[in-house]
Order: sequence, then structure tokens, then C-alpha cells
Amino acid sequence: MSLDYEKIETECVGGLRIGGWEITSCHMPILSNSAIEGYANELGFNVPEMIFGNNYLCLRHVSSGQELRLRAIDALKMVDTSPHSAKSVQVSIAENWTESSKRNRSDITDVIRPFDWTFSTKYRGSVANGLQFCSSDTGIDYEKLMVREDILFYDENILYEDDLGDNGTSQLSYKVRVMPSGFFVLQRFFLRVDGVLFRIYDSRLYHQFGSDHITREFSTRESPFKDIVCQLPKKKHDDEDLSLLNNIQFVDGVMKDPLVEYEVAQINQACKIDSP
Amino acid sequence: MGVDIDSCIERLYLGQILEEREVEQVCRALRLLLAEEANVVAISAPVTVIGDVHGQFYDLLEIFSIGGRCPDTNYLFLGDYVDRGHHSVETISLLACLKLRYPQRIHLLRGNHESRNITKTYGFYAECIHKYKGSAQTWHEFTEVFDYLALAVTIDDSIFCVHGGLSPSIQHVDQLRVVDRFEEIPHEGALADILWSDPDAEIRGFGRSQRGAGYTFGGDVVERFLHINGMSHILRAHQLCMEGYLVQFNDRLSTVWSAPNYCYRCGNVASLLKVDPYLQRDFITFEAAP
Repeated sequence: MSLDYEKIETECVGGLRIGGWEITSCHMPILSNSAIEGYANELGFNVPEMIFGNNYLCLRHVSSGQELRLRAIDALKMVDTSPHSAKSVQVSIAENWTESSKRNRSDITDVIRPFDWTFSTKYRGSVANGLQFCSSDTGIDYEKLMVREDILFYDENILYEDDLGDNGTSQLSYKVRVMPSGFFVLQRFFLRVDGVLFRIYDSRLYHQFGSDHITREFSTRESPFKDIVCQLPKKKHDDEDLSLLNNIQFVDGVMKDPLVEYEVAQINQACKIDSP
Repeated sequence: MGVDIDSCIERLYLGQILEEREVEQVCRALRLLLAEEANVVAISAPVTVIGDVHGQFYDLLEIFSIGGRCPDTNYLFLGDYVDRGHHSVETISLLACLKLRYPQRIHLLRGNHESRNITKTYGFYAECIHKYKGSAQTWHEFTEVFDYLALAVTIDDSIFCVHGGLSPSIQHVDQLRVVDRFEEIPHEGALADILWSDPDAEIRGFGRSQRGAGYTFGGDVVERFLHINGMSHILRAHQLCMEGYLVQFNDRLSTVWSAPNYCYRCGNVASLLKVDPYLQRDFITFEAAP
């Protein structure tokens, strides 16, 4: 199918109008100190160090107004703040540390307002104007996706990132690509806690222009740290180089056995798809 | 010393890394020099204080361009010279050579990234291997030097400077003077604390980190420390500041952050802090070098 499309290009926002959709991706610097304070008050915990609160991806079906957005604040609202949330993951030296510091110091305050300091989130996107996902048996048609096509728009963007106090990496980011036949989005939550574990939570969205639905797949993977380290390529001189663990593509490639959920959302086709 | 230090410095300013044998000689000489330095070094203002640089070499050159070159300007660096940025080798090499050449004009504190363990994950080790054709020798040399870096500086007995923050084990600066610093950063204890701890406006006293290891400290801890030690202010680094710096606790503690556009994507500005002979503090902000 060949559709007309219109590029969107401003200082911070790039995107496309195509097939009855407006797809926009916004890049801005990290939030200012005062905005960060505002977020922290709203969430009840300190936000990730690199909080791109103004970045977003917006997928908007023009005639119905239905839309899906990817935004940091909504993802952070899904971070666990229950009483045991802080202790669910602890850094590798924590066990020895607590014993030793318990022995010496009774005057040190324990954690007052617990939250999951890894910023793990099972956020799948924010829906509006009647867009609703429900459980489905079918996933994304990867065969259709793998057909070689022109890429009319591609973007990658970070929503938040934190180095966990130099104990690893927590990152929420997305990639979007728009082809003449449809659009595909991968939103990825990536976590590495040095010496402890890796997590990858992926949200994949796919829509074929002309169809009446969006398919979403949500997958989760988790592996102990050592299971990934032992898959580092063996080099002659430097078995001590762990820097590849910072490479999300590498870790993605070696983490297996995702748990996957399929969902679908109907699009209200109020009128025929017209070129913009 | 068989190395021409001025030639090394000249080449480094042009972004040319040293040869492996030059790194060995510089590091050996630097360890001898630093061995004579106390854990807590006393210096006088005026001095320009720099926070985390993290291998952003071209931003380091920008700092020298704004603040003046060493030795024309006195400098105090608060640590975290390596990892994350792409030019950790150039950064630490230049600073090491400047310290060797002008030991009284530039002071280098240890940051939590000046460590063997962390540099294996966060890029310095990999960069050494890559830039020195598969050899880890320069990484060994530099990480040995890290063990010798001073832990804190006092400016005119009034401003206390560390990389991270305060420790529940250290109420008086004299307690820090007697720590044995010549080792890899341990996982706990005073040496770990002052390189890793963070201020927290929400708590009183020391708090245990959510992550299971590490401390945070409140404004009352800062007041008590300054009072007991007869000092007026704490300068530290370690935490990213969008605006390049952050002043807290009624102007009793400042965080200086000197890596603009951190990790080449944050879009933050950075700062350098000029402390004048009257101990007035003036932050100068700057953006990433083009």
C-alpha cells in the first residue's frame, strides 16, 4: 500500500502524519530542579537522576482522537511503593553491610519511605479518548514486520535513566518506526544491578494502516547477573572487561525465555482513511 | 624521572595519549609524590573547584579555557575522572601529569570511580585496553595511583571538600587523618562512606540507603560536623545537577557537577566553583564543548 505522508519537524518534535495517524516523538533535556521537586512530591519518591519528563511518544488516531502516549511520569507512577518494595532487590554487598552496620550503629535511621529504587515498571503506555486494550490470543505478525520496506520515520528516545548510585543502570526508552504499511514501537525497561540481576520488560505495539486494531505484546525477562556474565564473549587478554554489560543489545540477545502477554485495542474508524 | 613531563602535557592538551612506558613512569613518580600527601590536605584560597568529569576530556579543556590553565589557576578536583565518557585515558593522563608538574597548584581527590571494580564495568578498563592495543598495563598503573589519592581537602580550615559526603564513623576531621587510605576502596567503613554518601533534605541524622548499602545524611549532620570542626561549608560532587550545581542546607553544603551534557545526552549544564581569597563562592556554569 502506498500512502501519502506529511513530515512533522519542529525544534523538539519529529514525526509523521500518515494513514489517518499522527505519530510524534519529542526530545527535550532533563527536567529542571523545580520540575523534579514537583515530580518527587507527586510520586512520593525521588525521581531517576536523568528524568526526561518532557519527552514523549504520541500515537494519535486523528479522526477518533484515540491515542497512546509513552511518558516518564506515567511509567514512574507504576513503580512499587509498598512497604517491602525497597528490599525486593538489594545491592550485592547489602547482606554483609547490614550485619556489620547493625553491630555498630543503632542511631541510624532505617528506610522511611520505601520504594522500588530500581524504578522497575510494567508500564505499557497511557491511553486516552477511548483507546482500550484487552487480552488477546494473537500476537504481532512478525512475518509482516520483517518484510523489507522503506522506513519513513525512525526515532529512539529515553524517558528516564538512573545509575542506581553507581550500582547499575535503570532505563526506560523507546524506538519507533513508521513504514508505508504501518508503525511499530518497542518500549523497553532495562535494569542491571551489578552483581545481582538483569531485567528487561518490553512493550511492543504494531498497527497496520487500514486495519482496525493495534496489537500489543508485553514481555518480561529476568536473569541472575552471573548467568549473563558467563555469556560474555571470551577474549584472549581481557576476561575482566565487563563493559559489554552496559550494552543493552548484547544483554537482550542473551536473555531468554520471556513471559509474553498479548493484547489488542480497537480503533474507531469514524471515517475512511484519507491522505492528510 | 626519565620522562619529559612538559612534552607529555603539551601532547595531552592536543588530545594525544601518552605511550605506555610514559604512563608507567608518570604513575610511578606520582605514587611517590602522593605517598607524602596526607589523607586530608590543607590548601589556601583562591582555588577553583571542579566536580565529576567522567572522561569528558573536551569539556575538561573547556574548564581550563574558562578557568585558566594550571598553574596560572589553582585547581581542586573532587574525583570521578574516569568512566562513562569516551576519553577517560586522556583525562586522567593530563591531570596526572599536571599534578606531577605542579603539585601545589592542583589537587586531586579520590572519587568512587577511582577504583578497580567499578572501572571494569563503567568503561575505563575497556578504554585502556582499546587505546593500548589489548594491554591492561596502563589500567593497572592508574588504578594503583588511585589508591594514593587524598580523601579530602580543607580550604583555609573553613571549607571541607570530599567526593561523596559525610560518614557516621567520622565526627572530627582528625579521625579521617588516621585512616589507612592506601588500598582499594572497601565496601564499607569511613573510606567507603566519604566517597559514596549523599545528602538528603528529607531526613535527620544518617539514613541507611534503600539499596541496602550506603548512607544518606541530613542537614543536622552537616551542621554538627561544621560546628565540631570549626568550619563553614562542605563542598562535594558525586550527584548529577541539571543546573550544574546545587546549594543546600541553608548554604552549608554545595554539590559541584562539571560534566555538561552528561553521557552525551542529558542536556545539563555544568559548573566550576571559584573560591576567592575571602572564601566567597562563585559558580560559573558552562555548556558542553562543541
